[in-house]
Amino acid sequence: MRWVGLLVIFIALSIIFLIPPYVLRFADPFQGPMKAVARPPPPAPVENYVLVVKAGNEREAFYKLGYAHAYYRLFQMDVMRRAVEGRLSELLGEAALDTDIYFRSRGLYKAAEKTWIYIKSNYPEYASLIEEYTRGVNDFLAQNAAPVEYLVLGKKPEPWSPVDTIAIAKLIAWGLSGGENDLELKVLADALGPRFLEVALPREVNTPILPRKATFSPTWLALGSNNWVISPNFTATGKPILANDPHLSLSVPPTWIFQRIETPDYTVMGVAFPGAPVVVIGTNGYVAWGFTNTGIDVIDYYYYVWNGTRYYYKGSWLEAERRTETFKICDLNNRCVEKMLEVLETIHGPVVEYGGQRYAMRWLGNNVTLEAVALYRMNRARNLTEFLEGLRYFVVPSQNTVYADKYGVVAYFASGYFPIRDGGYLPFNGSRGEGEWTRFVWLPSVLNYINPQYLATANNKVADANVYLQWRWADRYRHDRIMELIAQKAARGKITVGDVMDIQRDVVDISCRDVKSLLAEYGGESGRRLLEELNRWDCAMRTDSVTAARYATFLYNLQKLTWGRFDVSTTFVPFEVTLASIKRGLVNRSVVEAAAVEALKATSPWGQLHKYSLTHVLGSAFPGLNYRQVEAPGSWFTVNVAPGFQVSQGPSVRFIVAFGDGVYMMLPGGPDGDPLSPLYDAMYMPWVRGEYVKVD
Amino acid sequence: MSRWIRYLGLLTPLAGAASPLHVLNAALLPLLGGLIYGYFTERRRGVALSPLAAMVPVAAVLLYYVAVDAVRLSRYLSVFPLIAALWVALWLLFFVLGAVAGYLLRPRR
Repeated sequence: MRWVGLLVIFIALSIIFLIPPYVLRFADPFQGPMKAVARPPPPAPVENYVLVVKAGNEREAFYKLGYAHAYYRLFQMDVMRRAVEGRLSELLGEAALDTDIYFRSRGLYKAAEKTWIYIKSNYPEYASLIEEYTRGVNDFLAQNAAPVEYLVLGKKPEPWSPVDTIAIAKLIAWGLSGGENDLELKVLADALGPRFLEVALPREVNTPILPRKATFSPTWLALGSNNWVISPNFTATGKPILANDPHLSLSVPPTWIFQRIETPDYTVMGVAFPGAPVVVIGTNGYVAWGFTNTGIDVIDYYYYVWNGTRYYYKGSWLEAERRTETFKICDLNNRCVEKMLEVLETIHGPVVEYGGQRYAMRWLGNNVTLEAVALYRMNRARNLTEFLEGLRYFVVPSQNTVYADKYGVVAYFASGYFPIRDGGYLPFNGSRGEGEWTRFVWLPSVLNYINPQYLATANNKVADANVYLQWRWADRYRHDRIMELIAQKAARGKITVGDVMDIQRDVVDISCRDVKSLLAEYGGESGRRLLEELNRWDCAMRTDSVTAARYATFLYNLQKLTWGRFDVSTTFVPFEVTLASIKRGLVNRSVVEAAAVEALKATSPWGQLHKYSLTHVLGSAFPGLNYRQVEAPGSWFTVNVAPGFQVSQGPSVRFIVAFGDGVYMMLPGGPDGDPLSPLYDAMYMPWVRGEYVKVD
Repeated sequence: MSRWIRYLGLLTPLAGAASPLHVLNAALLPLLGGLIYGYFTERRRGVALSPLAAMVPVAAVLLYYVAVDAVRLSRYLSVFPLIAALWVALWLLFFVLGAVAGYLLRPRR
């Protein structure tokens, strides 16, 4: 019998040998993922969902903040910096390689390195604070076990560096800068001809934020959201109210962390990106500010006559600079392979491929830009003058900046700098020297409005201008609805915080007004039936409404049928442009009836078709990491925005500062990124329900 | 005496708490624990009960983590149910294989 016993041992050892190492890691209760059950107590408390850091001086505050960000959000920070650096596939494997190639070839991390060197030599005081923050992150790494995601992946987090902090700002800036818009527009312009540009570029029906035309004088040198300010004359407290709900990707954990930093010199609270210490949208008791994206075009593409790696530029042949990028792709067993990629750079910037053609990309953010310094100064500002001193450093991405202060001043500025050139919506012929940036304009010097009665922005057109600023302004519906609601509430009496909350939660889609006239004109028999139904409806995109489901199905199909045959995403073309293209006969009008036919097939309430889908980076392998899917009210054009059917974009924070009353907020998720923490998804359902927490 | 040594076998997988090696903690120590358990088991019934015996170290680990933080443990089990099940399955498999082998290898009277 002994040999049978030996055989059993042999079989057992063979099984062990055959089991992939990552499976053994998963099953190890001491050094595997289960180890994460044990966690040291937090270095800084989360009170009322707010990370609170109290310090005797600013350096200590930044150190503690670095430690606390790492404690609560290390994996998220690491994923973001690796994305910019193009090293995500070391962590997540082959699936992340395309993302790595995308960002590495565009040179964002290099821009972050240049920016850090510049900050160190020109703003040493601020640089030393970033270094304190970095020291805090790295002390956390040295003193604690890795968070659970690393234990699952079998990786160890690498030390943080100040460049990583800058890189996160570059990543956000890139995401809000418009990416490949020029190239996608070229696809449509090539297919539909110049008439499409005549429809798309002016965006005549879009409502400008600023009532007057903006004039950019040649002598000057220099993802959707909502925000609004209401001046003291209209509020119940007699002090201004500022509201902001920036629409970004809804991720797990949330994009933002809400923090409150208390030092003897100042106290500032608001949302920050984990990995970067400064408050991006917030208040310090003296001033409050909020952002939405203007989308002002600061990316251009250039094509050339090529001869190998030489390109023709203004009468001569130049050799493109070459850099070889090495990508390391590691699997779950930590076996890595390397891939090399040669990236060319022309005088305009890195060369990328789109539709089989080479383009050099020039992005304002690839220069040294000082948004971190800007925000740091804005965090400390005590009045409009000091705030503008900070805003002067803000380069990219251009933001609709609303401002309010305790003295009763409200204001609007389109922040950032704008490169003056001739055009910019389509790729330039770089060989002929087209599209050179001749000078920069500081946008707030042109696009500003001090003390409006009230003012709202929702990524709609900033202003009619004598130069091209951009063309993909968001459709006017969210903006117009906010202004309409403020006017209605003001007509009934003084506006309260509760009124502002109601506006942020509003799910009425006023695009239905345009759609009704479209159906009446071009809808045919199915369109008429749909129109009859819409006429009995209040245009509220409620989860229990079948009409809302039909309406959304109509919008989706109209976009898909109109633009789906081109190589662009369904939502690339703004809805106003779709309507104008149909009315002018630029596209086949039969799409209206076809979309109505599809819409009438919908029989489920909107909430059954339309759900929040907030996922973790590892959520496809471990669904338990994702937040649960729940019915989502709203749609593409509602103030409480919820685009698509699986909703993964929306209000990334709901934030209200009511001077004389309080500060209110809610995040779509929890403050703690640790999946084992009870705070992991603590604010998710309150956010879904449109609730708020008073944080000051 | 052998009974006490057999109990030692139940605790052997817990020695992984001091080991950084996944292969040891997830497979070899339960196998060794099973071997000790089986080797010092005199009746076949003891081997038949080895799946139950394998649950003793599993329960000890769970109790440890309950003592550390019961809420986090319950969240772990809900977020990573398959990983938790994998751990229990491997410990069970290797402990039982070890117990069978140990029983077969034990000296006969």
